[in-house]
Amino acid sequence: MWASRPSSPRCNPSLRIELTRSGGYAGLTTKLGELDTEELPEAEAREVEELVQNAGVPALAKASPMHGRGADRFQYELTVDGPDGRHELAMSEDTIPDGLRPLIDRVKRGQPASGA
Amino acid sequence: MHCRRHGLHCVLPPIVLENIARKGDEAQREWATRALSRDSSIRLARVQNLRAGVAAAPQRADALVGVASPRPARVISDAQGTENVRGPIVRREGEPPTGDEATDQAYDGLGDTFDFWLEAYGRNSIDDAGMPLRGVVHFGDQYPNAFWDGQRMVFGDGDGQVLGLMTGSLDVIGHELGHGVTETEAGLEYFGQSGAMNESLSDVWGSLVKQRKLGQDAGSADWLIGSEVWTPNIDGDALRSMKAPGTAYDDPLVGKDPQPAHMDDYVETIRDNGGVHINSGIPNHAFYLAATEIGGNAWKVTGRIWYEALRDPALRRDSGFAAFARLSVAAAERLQGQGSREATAVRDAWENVGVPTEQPALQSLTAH
Repeated sequence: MWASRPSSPRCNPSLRIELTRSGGYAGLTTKLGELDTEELPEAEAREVEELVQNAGVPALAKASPMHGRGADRFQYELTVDGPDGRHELAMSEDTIPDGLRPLIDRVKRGQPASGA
Repeated sequence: MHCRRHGLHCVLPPIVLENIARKGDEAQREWATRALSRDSSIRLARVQNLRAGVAAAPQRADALVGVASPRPARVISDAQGTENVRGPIVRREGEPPTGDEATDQAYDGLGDTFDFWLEAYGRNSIDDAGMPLRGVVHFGDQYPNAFWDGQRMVFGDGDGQVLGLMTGSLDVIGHELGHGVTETEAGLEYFGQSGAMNESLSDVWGSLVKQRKLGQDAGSADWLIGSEVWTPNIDGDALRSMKAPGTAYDDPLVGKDPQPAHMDDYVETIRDNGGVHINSGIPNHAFYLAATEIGGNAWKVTGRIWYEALRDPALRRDSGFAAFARLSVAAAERLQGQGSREATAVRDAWENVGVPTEQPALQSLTAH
């Protein structure tokens, strides 16, 4: 039904997600991945929406930055742009919430090489 | 201090603890020393002594009369490519080289860093109470980083594309152990300006460990941080330059060194804990300016001044550059004399990077 995406109409507005790593001893900033559900096959877009939903992104944004212990740990910044605005999450590699890990892993994989 | 478990420590004033630390039997000395190391009032007493005109702070390492010179207690463990920091121990203090490059580099580097703290400032390990130096090597899968986790120094192997073996630069090891020293002393919060000050102090100690090892004076040192960790793929001299912040690298893959050398270029960002590895360029450059103006071996006078400022109880967890700058000028005046050329050099160094050293009139009661 939704096979002709991305041009077809969507039930849900799209989500744009970006993951950046900064800090660490070297202090380098690296974009680790980005996703736009508009450009994903329908089933994958739904999966990503579910990962965002399950992670509790708005609450995590409120709790950000989630500081870690010690010094020189990698820092992760995750931004989620969606229908309810932009959420910015900032955390240390030792404070990544378990519920957020599946989304982070998915964003690292990025857009699929082939389409639907 | 936890009174329920260590009631005795809580009621004994530091002077009594110091007596026990000097004259008690071995077990008594051990717990008295540990109690002292936990007791922030010792920092206060130390500086009150200094301000009362006692020329040099009593060094706890020296104070333990009759005790053999402190020795490092290194323990290197192997994470075996995982993120488990409690992997098998591969080399303990006194054991011969293993043949594993990262293990032996970490062991040697931690030894050089221990010697630096003991011989330059009389400091016995991270906590000044003989804390074991725990190093973890082969952390993570091609992990391009080294860090201090609050208890140990952890080193990755690098990704091989951008960064190589993190134990390959002595200043990296000195930097990470320095984070332990800062945490034990002022505990500068690792965010924003206090975090950038914390970062800068680790770069200072890392650079000084290397300079001392190489027998360099301030004029001949390269003032580079992490000069051995880039792979040959990257066009860069090092990760950071204290001499010329912002010039350490410029490469298509990793971009350009973002460090400022002056408050006018201070970077506001949410990334990197608020730019701790970026804005550290400002106090880094102040140290460089002071050390080259004062001359000689940078760890002897300028490093000592910075160390005294770090140990000043007026330095708070959330203190920024200006608070540290004022305390370093005060330390220079205590150690070298009011109006001394060293105190002037320190003051000028901070002014040259845009950090004021005069106390703001309306905030005279805070360290901000």
